Amino acid sequence: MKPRRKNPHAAEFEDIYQRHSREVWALVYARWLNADLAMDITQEAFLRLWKQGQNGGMIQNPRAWLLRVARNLAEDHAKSAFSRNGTQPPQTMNGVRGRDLLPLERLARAETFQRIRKELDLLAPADREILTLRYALDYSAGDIAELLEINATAVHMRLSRARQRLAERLTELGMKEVP
Amino acid sequence: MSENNLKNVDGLLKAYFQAELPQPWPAWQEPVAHVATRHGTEAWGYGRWAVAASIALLFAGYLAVTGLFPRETNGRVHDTGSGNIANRPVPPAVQPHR
Repeated sequence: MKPRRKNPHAAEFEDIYQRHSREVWALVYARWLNADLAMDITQEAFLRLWKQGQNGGMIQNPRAWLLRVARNLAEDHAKSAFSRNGTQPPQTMNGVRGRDLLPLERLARAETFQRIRKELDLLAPADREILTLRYALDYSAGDIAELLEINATAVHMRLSRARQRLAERLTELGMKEVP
Repeated sequence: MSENNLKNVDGLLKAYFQAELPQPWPAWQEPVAHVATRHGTEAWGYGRWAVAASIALLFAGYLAVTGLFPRETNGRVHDTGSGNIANRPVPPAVQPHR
């Protein structure tokens, strides 16, 4: 059997994917608070980068290119969201689960997460980006500042303010820990 | 806001975002370029021949059918057949009755 010819740039591309795909996902997730949509847009951004490589296009900074493309794709999704979702915003469906009955603990957990999602949705998108990178990817303030090309002090301030606000709201709702 | 509340919110956010992060993280799948297969090419070739043959058959049918009917040229019906009214001898003029 004839072995499949391997793309010479495949290993390099795989490396870029491993290093940056989670960051791309995090930024799109912060925009829509929808994990599946964020993954779809992440895959689309990487597919476009791959096609650029196939067509001989040279990208000097793949990380910045991917983040820019992913942000644009996320905004395009906003523009077309009305036609897909009618008068309901896409977030309406975030908490909808399958018909299968969940165990009580899982149900309580899902409810807690839905409330957190609701509170996150009230924050500024820039604050959500910082929170997603901090808590989903364990990024330090320095890492976040480098990725978002902003000052580390600004990251600290925004992170602190967002935590304070969420702590107030979640305490009011009586939420202290994950069930 | 107490330090305890902030720790709680840290725990909640950590659990929330970790649950949202896809696990396991999907690996990159190199897209497979679509290459026309021999079978596909043949099917397309046969299709084209079938369309061409159909058009030729249609045209031949049209010619055959039109040949069966008289053709009218310059307002006169053109036909060599004896049964045609235009080729019959003109009958003698009838004298008017006096």
